[in-house]
Amino acid sequence: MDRETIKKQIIEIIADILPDQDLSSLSEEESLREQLGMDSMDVLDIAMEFRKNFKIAIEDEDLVKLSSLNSCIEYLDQKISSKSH
Amino acid sequence: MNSKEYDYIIIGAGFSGLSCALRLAMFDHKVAILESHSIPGGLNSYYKRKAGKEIIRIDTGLHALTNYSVKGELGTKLFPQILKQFRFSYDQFNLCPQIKSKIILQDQMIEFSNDINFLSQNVKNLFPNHHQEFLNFLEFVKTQNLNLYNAPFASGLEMISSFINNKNLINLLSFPIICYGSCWPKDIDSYLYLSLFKAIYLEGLSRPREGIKTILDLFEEKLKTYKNVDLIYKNQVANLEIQKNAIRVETQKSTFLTKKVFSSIGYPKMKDLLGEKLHKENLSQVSFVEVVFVYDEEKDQAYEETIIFFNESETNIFEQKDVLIGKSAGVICCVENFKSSKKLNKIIKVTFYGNYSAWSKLDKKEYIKNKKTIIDYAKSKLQLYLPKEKRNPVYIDCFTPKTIKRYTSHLNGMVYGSTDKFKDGLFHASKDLILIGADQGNVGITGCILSGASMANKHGLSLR
Ligand SMILES: Cc1cc2nc3c(=O)[nH]c(=O)nc-3n(C[C@H](O)[C@H](O)[C@H](O)COP(=O)(O)OP(=O)(O)OC[C@H]3O[C@@H](n4cnc5c(N)ncnc54)[C@H](O)[C@@H]3O)c2cc1C
Repeated sequence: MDRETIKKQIIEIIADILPDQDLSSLSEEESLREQLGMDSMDVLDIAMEFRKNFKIAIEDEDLVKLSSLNSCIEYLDQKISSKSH
Repeated sequence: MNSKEYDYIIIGAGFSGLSCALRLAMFDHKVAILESHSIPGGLNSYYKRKAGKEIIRIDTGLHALTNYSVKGELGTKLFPQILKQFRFSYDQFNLCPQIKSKIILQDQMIEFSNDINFLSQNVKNLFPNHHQEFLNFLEFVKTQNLNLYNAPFASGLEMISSFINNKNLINLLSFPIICYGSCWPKDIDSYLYLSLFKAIYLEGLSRPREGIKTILDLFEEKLKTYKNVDLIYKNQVANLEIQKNAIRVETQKSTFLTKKVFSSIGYPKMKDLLGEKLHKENLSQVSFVEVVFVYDEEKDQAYEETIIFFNESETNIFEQKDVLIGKSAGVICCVENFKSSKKLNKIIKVTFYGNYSAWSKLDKKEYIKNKKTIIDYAKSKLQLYLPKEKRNPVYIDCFTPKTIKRYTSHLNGMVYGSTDKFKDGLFHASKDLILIGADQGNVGITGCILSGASMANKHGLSLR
């Protein structure tokens, strides 16, 4: 799965959680907490959706890695490619 | 007999059960909700009656939804959390915010709205020497992390007394909090005090335009989109048995096997179903008598109070020992006085404390007679507190703690659960039995929705 596809899927997941927010100008670097007020409960939810959509297991310790769009993409990219090997 | 198997079984389709089931279903678990009745809602349900020429829907509980927020709001408010947890959008709720509400205790009166500055200004006008103390308390409330709270009962009234040094101001601010969430006779746990202070004053009150059915439908319809959920009505759980590798749940009609049970029917009832000894002292005496007035004429626009909390007695807010109603105190809710672009139901509710054992002692004739007396009494309170309300109701209903018990099975007609709270949901040697709802330590509609979700997250969902 390429980076763009992963990004698209992540944004779809966030859009599903936050249907009332405009995500068109979401920055990849800035934290999701700053931009969308997402807290630890939301990060857990994003992780749950990753687990469900990408069929990967996520460790609790990894939740801190899901802070920005960029870090989410990197994390998933790594997880998915290590799964397919 | 064949038994059906589920990952999780939820007992009760009230708000905590619906929300718990939905969270579990969203992440692919196979769940069943078992509910005694034929419709969802529990303490907050609805029924239909002919009133004048129209058939109208009357909510059994709902005065107001606490934890109001405006659309698109981010941050720590509870309502946006609920939207996110269930992937609902704001507009689906059709929320109508309150205009303003009043708290009247003997000769003191204070008003509040969904703007905390309005309350703050009123505190400043009435209690200038204590305004700073009030502001300090506000700061304290804002900085408390309620998710992590897990402590034994601590007095909420003592907590606010350590900030505010004026009994009248404390009583005014605490009265709505106790009315909307305390299962204890004269006080409230500090955890609930803080969460309700936030819920009522800092976030505010509103109402879905069409009443409680809007929210129930949202949950029910979303649940029905999942194939891994069975919503099973008219099935009252009659027996629970912890077996070696499963929990066996029996209703009169079927048997189910599951890994975990999430229950919204309270600690005492769970002990009962497990055949374990029930300690009577856990039961709360807090229940309600509510009189509902339905009108068909348009309201005279002359008054705009949404909710009036009144208490005429000096010493004790709660007279609920063995009385049919606590006569001196009550809550009046004017459904038409929420802000809305469309017409709201022409309903006024007057709610008093009621005691189950007093009502259950009456024979049928006396029961009806007393209901009539209380309807007249409620009318006299309307004349006193809403003197501009001159319409004649086309329909009047009155329900009692007995009615509440009949429809929800809560012992004593308890509204805010038993006096034991289990904030981590665990009440039993078996960690596969989990409490949700009032006995988990959250009250009200938003509180119970959060309770169901957080217990599902904690005990039912895993990242691995
Ligand atoms: C008159 C009144 C007014 C209220 N007003 C408000 C308000 O304005 N705002 C607010 O936020 N809150 C209000 N509340 C409180 C609110 O209703 C409750 O806090 C909340 O609805 C409780 O939800 P729950 O899911 O925990 O429990 P419940 O709603 O009690 O759900 C329990 C469910 O379990 C079912 N059940 C019981 N036993 C069994 C069994 N053996 N097998 C299967 N099913 C069973 C019951 O039928 C019920 O549906 C009010 C309550 C009352 C009574």
